[in-house]
Amino acid sequence: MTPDQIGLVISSIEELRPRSDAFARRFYEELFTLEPDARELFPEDMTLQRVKLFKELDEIAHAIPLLDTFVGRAQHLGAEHVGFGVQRKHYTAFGTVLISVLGEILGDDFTPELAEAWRVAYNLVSDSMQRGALEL
Amino acid sequence: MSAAALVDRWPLVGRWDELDVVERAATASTADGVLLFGHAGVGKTRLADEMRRHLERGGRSSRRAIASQAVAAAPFGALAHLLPAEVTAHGSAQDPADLFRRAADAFAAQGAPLVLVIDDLHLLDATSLALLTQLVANGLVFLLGTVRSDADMPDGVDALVRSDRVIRIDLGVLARGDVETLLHLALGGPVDGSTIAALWEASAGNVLLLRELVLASRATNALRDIDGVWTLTGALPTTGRLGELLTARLGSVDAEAMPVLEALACSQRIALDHALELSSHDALDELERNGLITIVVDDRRRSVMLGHPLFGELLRASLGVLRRQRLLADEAARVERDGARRREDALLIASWRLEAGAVTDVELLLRAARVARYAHDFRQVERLAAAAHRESPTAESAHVWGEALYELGSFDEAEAVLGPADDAAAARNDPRPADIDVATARAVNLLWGLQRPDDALAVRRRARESVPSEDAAAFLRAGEASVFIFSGRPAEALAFLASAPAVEQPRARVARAIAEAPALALFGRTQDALAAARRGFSEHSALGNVGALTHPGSHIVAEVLALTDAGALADALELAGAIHEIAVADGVPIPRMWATLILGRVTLFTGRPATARRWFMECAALAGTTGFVAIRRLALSGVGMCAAQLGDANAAITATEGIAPVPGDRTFLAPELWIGPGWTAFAQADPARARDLLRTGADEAEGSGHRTSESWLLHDIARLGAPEAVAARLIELAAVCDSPLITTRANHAAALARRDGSALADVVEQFSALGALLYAAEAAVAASDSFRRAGDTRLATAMQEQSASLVAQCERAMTPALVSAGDVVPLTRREREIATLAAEGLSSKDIAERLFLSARTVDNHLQRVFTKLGVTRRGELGDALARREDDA
Repeated sequence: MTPDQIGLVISSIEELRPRSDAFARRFYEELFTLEPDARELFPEDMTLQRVKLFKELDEIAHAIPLLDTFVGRAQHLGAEHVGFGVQRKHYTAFGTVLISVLGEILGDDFTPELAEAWRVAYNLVSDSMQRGALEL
Repeated sequence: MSAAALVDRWPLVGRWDELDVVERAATASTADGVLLFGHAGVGKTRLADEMRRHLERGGRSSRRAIASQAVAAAPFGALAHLLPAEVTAHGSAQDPADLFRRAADAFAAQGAPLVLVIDDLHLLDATSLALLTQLVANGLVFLLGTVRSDADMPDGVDALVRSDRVIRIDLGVLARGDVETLLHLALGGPVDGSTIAALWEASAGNVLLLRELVLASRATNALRDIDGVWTLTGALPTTGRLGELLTARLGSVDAEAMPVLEALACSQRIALDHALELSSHDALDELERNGLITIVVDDRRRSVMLGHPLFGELLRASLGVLRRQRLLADEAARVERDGARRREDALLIASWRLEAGAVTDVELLLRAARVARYAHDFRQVERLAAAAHRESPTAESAHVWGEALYELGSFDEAEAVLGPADDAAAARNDPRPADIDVATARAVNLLWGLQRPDDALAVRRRARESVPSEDAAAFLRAGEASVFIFSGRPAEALAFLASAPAVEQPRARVARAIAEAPALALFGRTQDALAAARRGFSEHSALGNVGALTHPGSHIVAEVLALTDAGALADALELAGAIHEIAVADGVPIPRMWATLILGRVTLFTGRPATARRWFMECAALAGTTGFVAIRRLALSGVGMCAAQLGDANAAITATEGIAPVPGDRTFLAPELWIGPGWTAFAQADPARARDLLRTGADEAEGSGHRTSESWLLHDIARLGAPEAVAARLIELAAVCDSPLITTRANHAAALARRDGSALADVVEQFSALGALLYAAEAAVAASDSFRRAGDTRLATAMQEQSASLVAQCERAMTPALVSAGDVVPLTRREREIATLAAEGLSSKDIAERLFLSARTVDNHLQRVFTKLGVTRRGELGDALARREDDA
């Protein structure tokens, strides 16, 4: 990632913060539409899960500049997700849904540059998570 | 960040799908291997290694090998160190078949299949490839292979790829997003945007190239950390070619480290202890940290290998021939000095010495040749055995070398090696087993290669008369019978075998079956032939590979011939298809050639001339490349008859031009050489000549005892309109043979001659039951016509309908007997014009001159006229045309 991209991702997180519940709600709706069998990986009541989603995004985005912390966190997250039954295909779906719901919530603020920055960031996160999953 | 640290943290990126495939295949046992295809530098080696480590974490054990031209010189070159020690230890059995079996047993004893990583699998020697294929096919190893997609693919690899137990993954370049992630992770921090763009453009997503570009620009400090951002401040290396970058890196290696790299370029893998003799500990350490070498541990031994196969390729290219030869000689001396613990070490030494141009152990070379022979790698056999023979000629070396030359289609050269050796044995008059092998190989070459059956017979006879033991004589006697049958003399073969004493010795029994089963089949003793072929196959299988016997598939060929005559066409087809598949998988052209020949034959009998034509064409091509002239002629005859029956006169003419059968032809199934030209003559609108040719073939068949061929030829005469001329002889043949196919052909001809509607209807049933649908269709047409003539319209219509549904299954066959007298297919103006002239008695040549056409075009038109009018003689044209006028 370029420094500009890192900056873009972090500042968009701040923009998202007041709308985080709406974002998380829409995110899971879209995810379960695209990957219905992913629903079983989550609890019946998603309230807490929605909070966790944004918290995780927040922390990991802010960790990007500190690469070792970031990689360590992502790998740990990936290893954890194996235990939840997350499979390879879910990473692809997660990425697709993330970008489209970010666009929906942020509207005109979601510029092509920001979209590209998020794509690169997600690639970095998911790659590290999958490496973590592998080395479990 | 140092180069070493960069190499160290260079992560795997963007290959998670591929890893997923391997994990599922290995853990759920849905496949026995994965082959990674891709261009140099896309990351195949790295991914294979990552997969291996992943499976190891899951508790699997693994081994790694790199194939290369350097080690392919010796059979088992690349795999030698992977074979369990007890398999290859000194003093184990010499028999290569035994070696294969022991290797399989040892791998089977491992519990969960061993994970075998083989880099550059397309460069494996054929023997290793054969062993590997067996291990994979039996689920004894889980293969992780890398294959350069721009490399030539040996047949064996092709077979592995097509196996449904091996998954093929085509690895492309990395996507741009993955390159960004990779750079970020490898450099350990954000990367400037234009730097990413420059590296992406220069590498085009090739991982290895990307790494080398990063390493090179780090070395010059053109790429550096400016305020926490990796930025390219100077130009990237001017050359973006991977090979040049790697060469530059190899060139910058310490002089102290070079000896290890050069040794690895020649021998692929060396013991760690030995590497430490060549270079210092520090130098090795540096090489390892820079990714130029890796240390691998298996079976408690630590060895050094190159970090990437491309390094070996580049190093070898940079070594001069002499330097390379010296290194090989050094390496051979070193392995020998340290004690060649394994059999294959010895093979490697012999092979290296040979390549280094040094004198080497003849016995070792021959042993290497025999191992290669077991894997049908005759080029390797030729190279090794020739060296052994030139060094010190013996009967053994002559046999192995001569046989390889024969297998490679160099028949004159084979005779030049085998002839003198055989003559020397004759003069010595003290026969040893190797002498018999020489005589046998020579006779095979004389018969099949040089087409001199009489000389082949003389060689075999002399060898037989010289041996004192009855077992050896029995074996050689069977060989003489083989010459009879494969030079077109089934009756003589059977008479010869009948006069021979009974055989007890297993090898001689099998050899006898190889001659006897086809002789019985062609002589019309169908059930005896079936029994002989099946017994021969099971005894051959029990015997294993004992040498001097043909491929066990020859029993299957005989069984297919017998099944055909037994009227079990579906079974014959299935069996022929099975042996074809095996031959394709094994990559052995000669059994494949036989399989396609019998497939063509059986397929044509089932009434599918288009498919049969393709089999015959494949057979002709294979026979062309293997030098089996006699089989090529037979196949071309097949192509000719199929093309003619599909109405393709030009193709029939082209196919049969080179066959030129002559009375007294001494080749396998010689009478059937007349069938193609016969049908071709018919396609050229010369039915009289067609019947003459077929008649000559039938006479040849009668004279030599080819009863099944004779019945085929005579039946075709009946199908071409002259049943009355052949019915009596066909009935005689049916009486002396026990073949339902021959019997039905006789019934067909007899019913046609009598124009007996209900007898023809019976024949329709009989042919249908056998699966001979074109014959059945033709009989149905004739039955319909007979019923109509007799005024029974109902039965005539029923038969007509039946014939239509049968013809629909016959791939657009256009034989004259399919044309009903009641059919009216309009003639074109040109056809009518030519037919009218022909009816007036003009020859094709005269018509051609008058109409400014070629004689061939006139013949083609006439042939279609014959088919449309349902006539088979020029003399019938006038009446048929007149009938048309009446109808019109």
